[in-house]
Amino acid sequence: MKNKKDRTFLICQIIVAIVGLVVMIINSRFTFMWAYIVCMLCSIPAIYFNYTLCKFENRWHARWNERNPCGGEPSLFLMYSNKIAEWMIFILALILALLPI
Amino acid sequence: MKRGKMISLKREEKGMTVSELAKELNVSEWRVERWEEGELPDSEHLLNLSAVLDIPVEELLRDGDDEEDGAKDLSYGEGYGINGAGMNVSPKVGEPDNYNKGVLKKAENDISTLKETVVATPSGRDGYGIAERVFGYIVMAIFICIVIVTESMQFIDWINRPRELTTENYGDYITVSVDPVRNYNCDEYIVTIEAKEDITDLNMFLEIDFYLYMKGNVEQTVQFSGSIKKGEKLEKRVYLEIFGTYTRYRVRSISGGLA
Repeated sequence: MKNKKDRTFLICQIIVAIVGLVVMIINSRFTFMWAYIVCMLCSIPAIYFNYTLCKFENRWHARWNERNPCGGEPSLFLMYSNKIAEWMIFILALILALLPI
Repeated sequence: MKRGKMISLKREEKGMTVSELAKELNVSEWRVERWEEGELPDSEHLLNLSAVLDIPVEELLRDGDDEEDGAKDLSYGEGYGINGAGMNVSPKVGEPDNYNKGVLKKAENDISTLKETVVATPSGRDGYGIAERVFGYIVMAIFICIVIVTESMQFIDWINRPRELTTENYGDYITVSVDPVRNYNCDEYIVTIEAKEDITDLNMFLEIDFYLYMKGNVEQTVQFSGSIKKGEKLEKRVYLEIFGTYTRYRVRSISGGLA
């Protein structure tokens, strides 16, 4: 899984998140605004730092549950499953921005 | 020797403090202390630590327990029948016999395999994969398209909004209600209009039909005029000759400007 620290993509994600927030404010859709903000604040950094988060998660698991600590190199399965979950949260936030309530 | 003790001794041999070693390896002092307590260094620091302290990576990977357990196995044949039975196959002191050469070779292979496993090249790093970027751009493009379409439609509706009140569209901007003052034998009614938007120069004539007791249908006309802000109400009272019931209302004429 070769990843690229693509800042353009990160900036695009942030711009889209801001556009969604502006749309909600313009249309006075305040019901789910808090959920939108939380989802975006969680998902965008998590998508970018997925590898670090997985490694951190592995290290903590090893520290608490294994006899010998490990470097924490995450498996591809863990990284893919976390990525999918993070993207689902991102898309959920975009759907919240479009809901007419 | 235990891994932690070995790291500690080597560090002291080099004349380094914990903080100097931590600085050298660009890690926290806490982490170096953990290593000296016996924790296996992370794969990313293993090679650097090995280079700084001149300890082979194999020694760092192999904890003291393994070494002590294997010490007899890897030494010089004592305890093995082949040597103790006077078969004169024992090697010179200081050299392993053939059996133990094989054991050593296997141990080296095991260690190199272990090294490849533990010090594996990271399978990924922070950032985005190619497919992920394509997917992300598609999702974001769809979202932006939906936003542009919906907001454009709203903007067009706003541009084409009515600017004046008419008898056809007044219902979208004004709410009319006729309420009795009392619930029985009522001869007094309150006519209320409420603005849903800001309205300027309103001039509205309402015809309200009542059915009066012993007299039948009568019609009363009420006029509202002035400017009303959104949410404001105007009230007029209607007095009847005798008690009766409210039937319906009609807007005879209306004029006014919308913001």
